[in-house]
Amino acid sequence: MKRVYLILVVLSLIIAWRVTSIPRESVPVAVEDTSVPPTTLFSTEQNGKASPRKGLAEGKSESNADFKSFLNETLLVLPTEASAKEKKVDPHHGDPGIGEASTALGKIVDEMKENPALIPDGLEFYRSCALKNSVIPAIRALCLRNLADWNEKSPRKLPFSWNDFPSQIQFIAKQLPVTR
Amino acid sequence: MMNLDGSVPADQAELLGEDIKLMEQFSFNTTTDANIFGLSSLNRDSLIGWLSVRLGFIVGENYQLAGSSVSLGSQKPAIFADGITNMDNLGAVVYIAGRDSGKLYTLSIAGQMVPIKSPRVGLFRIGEGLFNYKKIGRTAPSAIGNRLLRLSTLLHEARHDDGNGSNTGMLHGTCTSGSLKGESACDKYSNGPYMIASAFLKACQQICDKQGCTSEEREGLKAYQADALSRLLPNATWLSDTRPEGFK
Repeated sequence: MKRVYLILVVLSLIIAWRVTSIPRESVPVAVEDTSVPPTTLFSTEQNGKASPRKGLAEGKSESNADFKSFLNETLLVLPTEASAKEKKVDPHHGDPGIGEASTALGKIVDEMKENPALIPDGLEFYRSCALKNSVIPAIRALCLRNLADWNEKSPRKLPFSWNDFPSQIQFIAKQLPVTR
Repeated sequence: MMNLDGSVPADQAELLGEDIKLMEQFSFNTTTDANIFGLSSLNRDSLIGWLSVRLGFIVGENYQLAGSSVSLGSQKPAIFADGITNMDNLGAVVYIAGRDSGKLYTLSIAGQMVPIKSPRVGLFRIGEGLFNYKKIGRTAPSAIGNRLLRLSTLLHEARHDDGNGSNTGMLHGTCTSGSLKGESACDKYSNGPYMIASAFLKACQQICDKQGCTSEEREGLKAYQADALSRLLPNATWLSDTRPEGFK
């Protein structure tokens, strides 16, 4: 019995060590969201003001972990081709999901400007976003533009090549203004 | 610059009036993409000049064509969108319908009888989508980012005043991929309405330097510019002759 208990303790310690020592590069980013129900970052406006979802876009990120968690959640709610088709609005003038995403994308920029140590996490987010097939091209291209520009400012640069991204996304991103 | 019809709700009229005032305060200058407008540079004066010859009347979503003897027939011009209206170029639609049936239509707008002799009459229709649906995140309709976004829509619609013959109205082409596949919501001209909006939205980053936009607004404007660029059809061509046509 004592031996079984000892084995269990050792196994628990090993598991705990594995969980807390996942290298930075292998921190999971959100995967394709085909099973994630369509959602938005912000609820419907009330009295002229929108209500942010709990824990998002309010105040400053307190740590890299908070920022990373915000990035992962944002990646899951970016406007997708599928959600764009469902919306009963004028297709002539842009997906409303773009406007909703701009709040989170603006917050990411603010956080990185305030704390450059967060830039590498932001770069991982931008890369995942730009490569995510289900996200609408406009947002993917904006992410690619930001990836290229913020990589220049990053204390830890990612290997970057425009050719890693689809040609349509590259075409759009290259015409967007350079992030200053 | 524009005559507002009584069908435009008061709150929308006020916002739109303020948008035009904002344009009159612009202090930027760029040559980037000015050729898309057919201009040598983009700045306050050139943009106001470009818009003023294309914008004449604005009517509200509930403006009634009924009783004016206008028949759009079975034709549904590509710029006539479904869903909640943001803005459309009603003048171009009515002109094309009239031209194709050999009639000169006259509409009662803002207390005047206006013959729709050309798309350059500049008759635009606006709807609640322009103020509620197409906007940047959590910001109010009166926020600078949303004002610039509405101006980009206005410039887009103004482009539909241009072109002649088979290119009248510089109508949209049918999108060939993505969520808009099959919709008439893409540019078949590389100097078409979406490219006009894109060029202006790019310049908005300079305007933002003076106006103090937030990061949310900057990212939103860039995302809408990317949306406009994503609507350029792969086989789009540059329309050299953008002169408008009309009844003589």
